Amino acid sequence: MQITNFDTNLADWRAHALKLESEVKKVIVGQDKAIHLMNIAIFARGHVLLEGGVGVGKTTLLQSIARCIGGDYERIEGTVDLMPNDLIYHTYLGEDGKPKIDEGPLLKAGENLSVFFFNEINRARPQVHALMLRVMAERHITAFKQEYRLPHMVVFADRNQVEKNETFEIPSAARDRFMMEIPINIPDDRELRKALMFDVKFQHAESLTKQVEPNVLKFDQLNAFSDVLQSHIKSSNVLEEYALDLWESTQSPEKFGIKLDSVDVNRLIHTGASPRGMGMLLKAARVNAWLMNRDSLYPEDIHAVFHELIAHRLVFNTMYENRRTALARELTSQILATVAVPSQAKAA
Amino acid sequence: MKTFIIKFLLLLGVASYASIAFAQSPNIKLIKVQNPRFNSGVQIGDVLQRSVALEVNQPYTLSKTDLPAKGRSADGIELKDITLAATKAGDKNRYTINFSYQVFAVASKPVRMQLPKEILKFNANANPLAAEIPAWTFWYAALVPENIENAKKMMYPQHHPEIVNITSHQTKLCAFLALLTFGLLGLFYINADGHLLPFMNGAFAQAYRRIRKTPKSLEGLKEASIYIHQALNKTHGTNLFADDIEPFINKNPKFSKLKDEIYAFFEQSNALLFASSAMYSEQHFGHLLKLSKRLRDCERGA
Repeated sequence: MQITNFDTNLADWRAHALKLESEVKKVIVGQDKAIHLMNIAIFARGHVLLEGGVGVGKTTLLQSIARCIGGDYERIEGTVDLMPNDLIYHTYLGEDGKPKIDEGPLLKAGENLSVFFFNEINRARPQVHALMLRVMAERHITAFKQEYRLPHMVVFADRNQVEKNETFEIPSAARDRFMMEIPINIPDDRELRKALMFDVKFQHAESLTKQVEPNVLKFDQLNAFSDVLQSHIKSSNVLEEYALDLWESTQSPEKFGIKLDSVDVNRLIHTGASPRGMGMLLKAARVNAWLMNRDSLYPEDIHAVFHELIAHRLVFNTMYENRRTALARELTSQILATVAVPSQAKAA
Repeated sequence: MKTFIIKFLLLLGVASYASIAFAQSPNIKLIKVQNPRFNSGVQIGDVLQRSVALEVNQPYTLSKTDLPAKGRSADGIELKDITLAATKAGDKNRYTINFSYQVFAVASKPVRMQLPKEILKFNANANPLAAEIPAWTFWYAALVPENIENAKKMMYPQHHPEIVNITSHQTKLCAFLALLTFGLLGLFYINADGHLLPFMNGAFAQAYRRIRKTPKSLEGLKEASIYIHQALNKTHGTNLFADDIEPFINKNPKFSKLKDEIYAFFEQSNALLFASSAMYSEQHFGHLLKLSKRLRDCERGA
């Protein structure tokens, strides 16, 4: 697939992107929004934090997506004794009884690594976070006296927010490296729950994953296409003004008359969204616009990803941190409901 | 009865013949007999004039002493006055006699009366002549009806006129007026472009008024879209986007009949405000004006 004819490529890639969604939806039920958001993250080339309980299908979901994207899929479990070098290499005794060193999960696939899943990242120590975050940002690492490039890697990390014992909360600066934090919740629909319980096909994750059509996308062309896509989608002055207002509202919600039921909003926010976060917001919104078959950015594109892009970036004052999930959801909803687009349109 | 009528007619014929005999004497020529014009409706006190003109050959002259005497009264008729005018015309004497009779009869119902016949005598040397002026009948009319009685006997106790019950009519009239007033107020409320009353100044009414004053240009078109967005936001209570239309309709069912138009508006509005290829269209502007008016009507419950 050559990135030559923009319109043709955009349409082709869009068809592939929609195909990815439909393929994954065949085996993962009740997670349509999460699948759509992950699709956006893939085309926006952003890393994703997954938030959800145990046994909700995160691994199956990721394996299905990795199969569609193509390339290699690697996974590591976050534990309290996990050290950074465990990502880089591991040692073992060879058949000849001599110690040997082999590449760890991060390096093993080399440039073919397309999806790296860090399960329960908050159980790992900060040293591991530091390494991981550096690799996520730079997409290369030096080991064994050589540089390993990971240009196509997208990291999906899961953090268990239920259990707090022996966990190391990811600091705000580290969270900011993740484009989105996507909630993976148990479906509310009773029929879906029934299917998950009684439909035997959901009992075998491996065979379920194999039902997904492999290599729907060309993982090694995603970076180049993402650049084409980002330059293709235009944003008007009106929308840029609106995005600026949204950004300001994450920093000073009281200026926009935003109120929360149980919280004094003046004391809630310590730090709002970062410039990188807002850049990622627009990047993800452009992908949404493209998936909606448009070449212009609409407010609805921003809304589609706003909460997942912004909520984990907000830094609340300490007293509110233990209620972060609920407050962040309420705040982002209030921002979208209160900050008006039309009032900014006059500036156009 | 038949015999009686025949006899009566015979007698009448003989009498007429005698009268004519007088009048037909060659020496007397009756020129004119003028009786009163009306022979009915005569009442007590009325004066009836009768004039007779005749010529006689000389040497005959009218005997003035034989003329009826003034003041003669008979059968309720009094000769009030009599005048005579005599002239000579060659060998003839001409006389004009005016009789004035006054009626003094009293009767309570119409009565047939008559001016009496008069006989005029003419003298000469030997053979006197007479001319008879026949009687003239007329109908006397009573002044008051026969059965007139004392007014007191005819008086009835005073009663108020019977009052017609108009309660039901009043009720209907009031109901009609109330309906009319209500209808007129309703029409006024729905169609009025101004905000004469506080409850007429709804969000869409304001938007409609502002759009009407907006210049017809691309910028004006954008402003018009914004006004409708602002009205939608105000009505919804928070920002309203395309994804929120369904909840908006559920919350405000009076706009449900414009649901499709609202969806279409958001599509057009997004393309206008956020796409780079936005262009002015007269039709689009008219559509926004019409939509804002329809939304205003919904807002007013029309």
